Amino acid sequence: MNTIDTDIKLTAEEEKILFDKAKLIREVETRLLKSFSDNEISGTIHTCIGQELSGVIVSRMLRSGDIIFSNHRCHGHFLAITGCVDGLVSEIYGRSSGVCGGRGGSQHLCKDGFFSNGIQGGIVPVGAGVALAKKIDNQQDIAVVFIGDGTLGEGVVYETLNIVAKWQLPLLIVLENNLYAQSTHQDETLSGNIIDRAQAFGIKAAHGDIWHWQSLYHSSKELVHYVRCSGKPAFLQIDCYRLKAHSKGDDNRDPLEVLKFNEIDPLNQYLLAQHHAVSDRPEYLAQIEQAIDKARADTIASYQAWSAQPVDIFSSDMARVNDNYDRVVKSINRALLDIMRTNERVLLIGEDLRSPYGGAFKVTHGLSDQFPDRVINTPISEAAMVGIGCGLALQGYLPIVEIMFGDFITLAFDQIVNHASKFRYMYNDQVNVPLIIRTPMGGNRGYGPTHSQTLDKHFLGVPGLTVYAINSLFDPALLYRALLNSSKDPVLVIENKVLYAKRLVSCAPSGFYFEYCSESSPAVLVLPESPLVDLTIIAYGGLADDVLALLHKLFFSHDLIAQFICPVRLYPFDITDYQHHIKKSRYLFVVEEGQGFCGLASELISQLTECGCINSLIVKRLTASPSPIPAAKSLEECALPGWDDILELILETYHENNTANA
Amino acid sequence: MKTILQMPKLGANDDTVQIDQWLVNDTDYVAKGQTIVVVETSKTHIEVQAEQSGHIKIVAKQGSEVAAGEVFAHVYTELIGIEKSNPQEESQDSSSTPQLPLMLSDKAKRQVEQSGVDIQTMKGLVSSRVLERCHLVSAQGTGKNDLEIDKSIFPDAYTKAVESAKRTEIKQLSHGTANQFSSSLTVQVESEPIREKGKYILGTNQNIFSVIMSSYVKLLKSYPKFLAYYHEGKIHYYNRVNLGVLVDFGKGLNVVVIKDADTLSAKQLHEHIVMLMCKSKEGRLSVEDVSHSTTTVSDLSSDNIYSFQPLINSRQSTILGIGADNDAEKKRLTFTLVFDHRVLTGRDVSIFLHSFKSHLLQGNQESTLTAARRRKI
Repeated sequence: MNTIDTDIKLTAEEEKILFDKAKLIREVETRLLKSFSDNEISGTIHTCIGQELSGVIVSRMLRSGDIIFSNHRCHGHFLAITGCVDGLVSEIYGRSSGVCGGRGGSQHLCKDGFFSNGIQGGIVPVGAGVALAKKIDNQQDIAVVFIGDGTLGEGVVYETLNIVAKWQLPLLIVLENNLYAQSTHQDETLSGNIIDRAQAFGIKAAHGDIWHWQSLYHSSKELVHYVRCSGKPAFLQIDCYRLKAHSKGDDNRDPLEVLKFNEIDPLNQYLLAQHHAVSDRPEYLAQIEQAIDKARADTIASYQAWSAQPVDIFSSDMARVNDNYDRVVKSINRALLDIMRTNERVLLIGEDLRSPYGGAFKVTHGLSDQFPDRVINTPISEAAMVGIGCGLALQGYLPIVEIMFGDFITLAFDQIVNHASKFRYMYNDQVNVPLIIRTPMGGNRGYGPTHSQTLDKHFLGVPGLTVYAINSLFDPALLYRALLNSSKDPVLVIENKVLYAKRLVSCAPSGFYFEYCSESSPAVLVLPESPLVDLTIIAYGGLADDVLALLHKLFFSHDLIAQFICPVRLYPFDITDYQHHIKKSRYLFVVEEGQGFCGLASELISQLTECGCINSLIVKRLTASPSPIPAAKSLEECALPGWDDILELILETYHENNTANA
Repeated sequence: MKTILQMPKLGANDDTVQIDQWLVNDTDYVAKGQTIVVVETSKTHIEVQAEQSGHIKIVAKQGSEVAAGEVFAHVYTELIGIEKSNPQEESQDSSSTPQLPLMLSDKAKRQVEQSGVDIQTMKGLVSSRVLERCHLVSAQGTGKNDLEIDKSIFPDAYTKAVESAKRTEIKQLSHGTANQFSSSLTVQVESEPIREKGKYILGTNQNIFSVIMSSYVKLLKSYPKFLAYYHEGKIHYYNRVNLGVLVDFGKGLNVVVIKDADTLSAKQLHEHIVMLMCKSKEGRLSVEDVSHSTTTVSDLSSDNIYSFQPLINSRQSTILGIGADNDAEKKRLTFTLVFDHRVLTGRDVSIFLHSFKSHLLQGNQESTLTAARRRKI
């Protein structure tokens, strides 16, 4: 056992501070349980009754620049750190004066450097990102993250333990071990020893419990001091027991066991020794009742939808493409170099980014030579690297995270969907998350089922997450520059991997012209110089070149005049912004490289249908065939739509509807 | 009506300015005095206002250089004018935009070579559909087919391009009658009450054609099948009353088209018809004036033809023939509705004609003022 046994007794004054805080927390939660029973609050609440001292003691060691992360059972941590009863009560009552204006509720609190989220373990790498920011800032502030023993089942915890140990980040992980993951005892789910896990990564660890709170006080103090002074991570296991249900009415534990822990509960014991009952502090009760009355009287939070930040991609530079046009990979590299030069808070994070390798597709080639501290190689830990990016962004850094293959982004799905994209909105605009995630997607390189996919549709329609796809019709530097200047929310930028080797298109095919639309739905239009348009093609990303190559073929050989709409932002995107163009044509073809079912094409066609634009049009989709993408070139060609498939579909459709002209 | 907006001279030092930002979109309605575009001079940004109210057609794109006095936009009083703006008309303003190369699709090239039509005024991408639209070739194209004369049998035969006006006429008719199952019904109506009505509405009882047409088009709007056509097992509905009127001033048959005729009052309709007749007489018809009719009418009443069966036009299901017996004591008009039996039945047409007749004979309740309903855009 690592428990630090010490006889050093705390002063009566310090004791009183601790137990007053613990008592306030218990009173608030007890009162909230009553509000729940009285049906005054909706949802559920996870109380920490019985565990209060862990948060109370750790918070005593922290200072104002420290950042604290918590989990679903966060009221105690929140009150211990902020003392904000009104804000918590109003939040749980769903009132506009709540700390998150009613958007977060019980599990999603944010105030003055305190953050909680309802996903197990997901916040741990975010804490590591903040710790990295603190380390770079070099002000001896630290990050603290509270997790439970149940969280040890989550892989991202181990990704983060590895990274914080390797990078020596000032993160204190406090593990509250209350023996149960919801209703399941850890005997059923937990192997080995808890503290050994941290020690296996070389992380300094200590073990305490709330029943020996004086000893816990000292070990906490020592660990926080260690993290603050050494800048290294530490792990504190605090054994405790939850006296109430996991949530509401879901307690299957042996009542005798609960009774036993009730008897040895340190707060109960302390009060007994002081000859006080739990509700013997009328000023708390009055304060809490006041908070509840205030919440009841307050206005109910009004709903506001999320909206994407306006990004002006094309206005800055009228010459969209450099005269000596580059390969796309070079232009992204140049863009990154450029923005790292102009803004020192830009950091690049990802696998194999540094010299001499420069990234799997050489996008970051040479950048670590110029900025050795700002191009960071990570272990193969996609979730942790996105979480770390999120934490850095919370601290005002501008991280650009590269996911080596878009296929691997599924490993970071939780970080993107449940963390980065939620924070600004659910914390009621108290924070920004200017995180850019870049990833190559797409096939036609023979990489097979797990390195060729176009998975963007899984990320479309996540409020808070803006998704872009570059193409060769404009210089991607414009996009990255614009995003850096205006993004408050995370952005996913998809770079179709066949683009890297292609050159930017410097001018439209003769007889056509480019129109760059930067407004609510950024897109590049390729419009014909003609009073008539036979058909509209909508496609994006890597398909832009295929479609561009088709325009002359369709015109000269097949007597068809086409226009091309190439969305640059995929979400949010409103194709009806372009309906006046689409209405001019008789046919509409929507092409995407990903799977068609519930894909972008179906979304755009739905939008056009709803606005009544489609009635007079003949509409077809062309998407990937429904199979994992085969590795063999011949098979892959069958699975993915190429320019010949687009041409075939167009001609087939045209002839079906114009047999008289055939 | 189209008004040209020219770039004013905005600074002593600047012969050209750059279009910095359009504040309106193409086809937007702009009010006189409204700021529509911001331009950049060598010194500053200047806001430029519209000199006319109407729908705007942007000529100078964002980022382009425009010289003082150069046309940078057009303003149309009618949205229709802008939507289908005439490519030939535009080409006359080509000084305002960089000269575009003319590009012909392979098929269009063959058609031009075979028909010898003049394409000097065209620019940009020209496909066979563009040529058709500009009435330069017929829909059939000029590709080789079975109807061409076999030179091995008739070595002295020759082929000559049909003159332009006649070609238009053939195009209008041949497609319509091919594969069509037309039938017709006729009703007879006394003309006196209609003349009375005309006197009330137009102040003259001489030209009652517009009065008849006003009733006709308003009624048509409620009979979608009359504004439709059959094609390969499908009936296509226009849902728009674009009335084509056959006119012949000895220069070949023309169909002038009054777009959305149902939204015009009888008086406005009359004015439109007169205007188009004048243009036709003077040979000034634009492509727009003769395109996109959805039903057609032919009036031979002044020629004292009692009744006749006009041919249905391409991609339409109905045509109305108006005849008259001017020698009879009581002057009577006949209305013969020729219809595509694949779209309509005799009963449909019978109901329509009787309803039309009673509309015509109704009093003068329909005031010209209330009839002026505008098409919502």
